[in-house]
Amino acid sequence: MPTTSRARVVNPRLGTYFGIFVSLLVGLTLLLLIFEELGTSDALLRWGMLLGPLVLYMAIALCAPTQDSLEFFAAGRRVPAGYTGLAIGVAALGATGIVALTGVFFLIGFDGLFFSIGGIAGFVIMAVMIAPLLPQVRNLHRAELSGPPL
Amino acid sequence: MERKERKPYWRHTKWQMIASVVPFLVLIIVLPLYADSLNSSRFLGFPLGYFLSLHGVFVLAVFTVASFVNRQDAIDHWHGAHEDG
Repeated sequence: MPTTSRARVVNPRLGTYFGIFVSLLVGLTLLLLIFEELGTSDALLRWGMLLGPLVLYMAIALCAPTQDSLEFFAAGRRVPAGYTGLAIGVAALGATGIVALTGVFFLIGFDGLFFSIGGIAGFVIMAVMIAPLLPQVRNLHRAELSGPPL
Repeated sequence: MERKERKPYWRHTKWQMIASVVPFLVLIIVLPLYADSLNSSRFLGFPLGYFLSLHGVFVLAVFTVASFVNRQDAIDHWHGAHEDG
């Protein structure tokens, strides 16, 4: 079983990077708000709101290139578990989940709660059934996760 | 981890998984069945069945996962399979 001792080192500059990214995102939004007040066309604002964050994400990708799957999927385990949990939660829910949940509640009211309960149950099952297998695999590909424990 | 430790390790892990998931799943299935009758009483202005289905289940999910991680950590340490040296 390949469970080597890995020291968990949290990136000391994580907060700085996070601060820079959030500042840029807030700055972009405020800038677009100012442009809206100045009477810039709606189409330009929409493209700005779409492409601005996209450029930021691409900048992150260009600044931190890697070919190691542990680095790619889990940031080399240098990010604290709380942040990683938040990121996984958002990724799993996704834009589809947000839109679909809103639509379900709009269409069938409180009965749509079954949808969110199912989602929460799915998170718990995913965490409980998959988490113990994570240390057993070096690479975090899904195919390896669904295989038998080493 | 030594080879002879693997079987007991996975046996412990399997029972721990089942013990964590089954009570949660039972509650997820049973609670909506009684939600209608619970809705007759109110909590903070919300119907109780609705409130429990939304916030109660969420809190329970967080508690289930947190306790699972703690116990799994203990099992990892017990069998010498922990990651952090």
